[in-house]
Amino acid sequence: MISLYRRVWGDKNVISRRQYWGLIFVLPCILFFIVFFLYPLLTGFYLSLTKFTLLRPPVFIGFDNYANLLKDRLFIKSISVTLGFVLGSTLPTVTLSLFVALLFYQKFPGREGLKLIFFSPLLPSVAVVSVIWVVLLHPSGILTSVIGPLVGKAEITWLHDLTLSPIVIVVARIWSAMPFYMLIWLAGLTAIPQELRDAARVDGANRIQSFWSVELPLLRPTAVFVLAVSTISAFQGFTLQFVIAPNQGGPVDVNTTLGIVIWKYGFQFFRMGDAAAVSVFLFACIMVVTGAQLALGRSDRHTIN
Amino acid sequence: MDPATDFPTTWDGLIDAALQLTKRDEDGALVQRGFDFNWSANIYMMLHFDPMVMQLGNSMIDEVAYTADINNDNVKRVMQYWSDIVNVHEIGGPQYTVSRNAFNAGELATECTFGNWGTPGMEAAGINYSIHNIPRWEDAVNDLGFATYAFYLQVNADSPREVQEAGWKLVAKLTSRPDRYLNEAALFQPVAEYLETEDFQNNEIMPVFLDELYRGQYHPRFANFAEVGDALGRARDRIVLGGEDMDVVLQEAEDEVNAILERALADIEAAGGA
Repeated sequence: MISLYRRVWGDKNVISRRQYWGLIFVLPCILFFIVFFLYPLLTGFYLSLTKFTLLRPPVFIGFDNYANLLKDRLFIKSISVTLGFVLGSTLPTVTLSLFVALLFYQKFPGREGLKLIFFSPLLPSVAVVSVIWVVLLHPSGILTSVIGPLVGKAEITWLHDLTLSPIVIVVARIWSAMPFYMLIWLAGLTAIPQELRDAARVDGANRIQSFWSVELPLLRPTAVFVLAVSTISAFQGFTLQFVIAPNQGGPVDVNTTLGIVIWKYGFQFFRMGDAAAVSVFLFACIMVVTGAQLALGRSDRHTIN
Repeated sequence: MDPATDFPTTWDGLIDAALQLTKRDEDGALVQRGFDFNWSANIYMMLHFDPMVMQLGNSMIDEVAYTADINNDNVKRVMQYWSDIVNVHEIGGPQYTVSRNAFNAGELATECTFGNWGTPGMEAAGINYSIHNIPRWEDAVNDLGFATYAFYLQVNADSPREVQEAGWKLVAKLTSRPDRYLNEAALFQPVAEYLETEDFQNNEIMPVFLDELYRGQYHPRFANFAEVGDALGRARDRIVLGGEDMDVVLQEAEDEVNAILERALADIEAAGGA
């Protein structure tokens, strides 16, 4: 490897023995990335340019799949559903998890036990969480027995009401995702030197002023990370919509996210080319939104005067 | 009610019976549904809904011409029947536990999607069941029940000769014991000689299924049926759950299904098919 490197770059750029071993050690990671990320990504993009039904080899058709998506009713609807899910779940998840992290940052009796209970939704897989929600949301289930008497109903069709259903899915998403982001916020809060809070207090700042002027600016990197990860995760929304929503994304497609469309086109309708085109579109959306968020995080860095 | 004598033979009679069999708690919540369709998968729009339309006339899908006729009086009548179960009689709907699970849990009195393969599960659940023919419309013009579906053992004609020979040998082996398939796995293999055996003649469950098998149709038998089912299921939910205008929704569904079928036909022709 070294001799090849020398031949290509000349003796001036000879890598050190240390760098050589470094390369050897990261090679498995690079190979893993190439095999499981880069190759599927490029294959996916290639498939998006083909007509492929699994039964016959893919046929190259250029950008026809993308052109067809522009007039595809389900795809167009899924964009608005996905955006609704992203906006509806991300901002509440981020703000509520911050609020809970601030709560758990305070010292109070039973804090660790309560933290454990709050963290528990993160332990089972999303599929298990979804099944639990399906049971909770039975028309005459536990939630109805609590809320039903308040609204004078013996049965509430949580999942089959076209308005209620997406809201319920968003609530389930917030409930299951919040503990993870709460931990990230807690780590961010813990990393802020206590001296800065003490100094603010000496300067006469109350708790809210201290949070607003000292902690929040210093939490900016954490906020960017939480916002980026939760947005990406929401864009990829699939399991909740697949398991909880009736007929995978229903009723009447009100929960059909881009992830559900990819599954439907690929594995229900066997339109692999169309499914790959939607995947590439979703990938591009996530890249643009995450890029914008990261750029926003880098610019206008806050300093404490 | 005695299932042996009181089981309804018409769809309207089924609603009357279902209303009698439906039980509610003191708050009005359903405890036992008298009858419900299976709303859990859109394929039932072709296995159950369309045969109800066929009883009144023609199928929604012309499987030979690859065209759809959905916005017509027969489809509207069947759609109204499904909608009334949810919105008028309030005895069932997609919001409740899936029909098969509900039946085995004792929450549903009459279920219509089980085949003979479902009986071991019913027995394991301790359900005292009886099996009856699918009801017909009183003014039905075609005497058929729900659609029949089947799984086939196939050998790929494009595979090498020795692979094909081995494949056919395997098929012969797998179809050599229809008695064991039926008695041990509850799967029916329609082998003519087996129907004459004492073993089959003594089977108490199969006569009803065989009767429906003789009258019914294999459906769907066209490409892109999953996509068509999806469009039909969406149309049903828009009407039944969304309360949208039936004329508008069915016309849109007809246009959508025709577009799907047109694409399917073009793909078949491009691949050199008939």
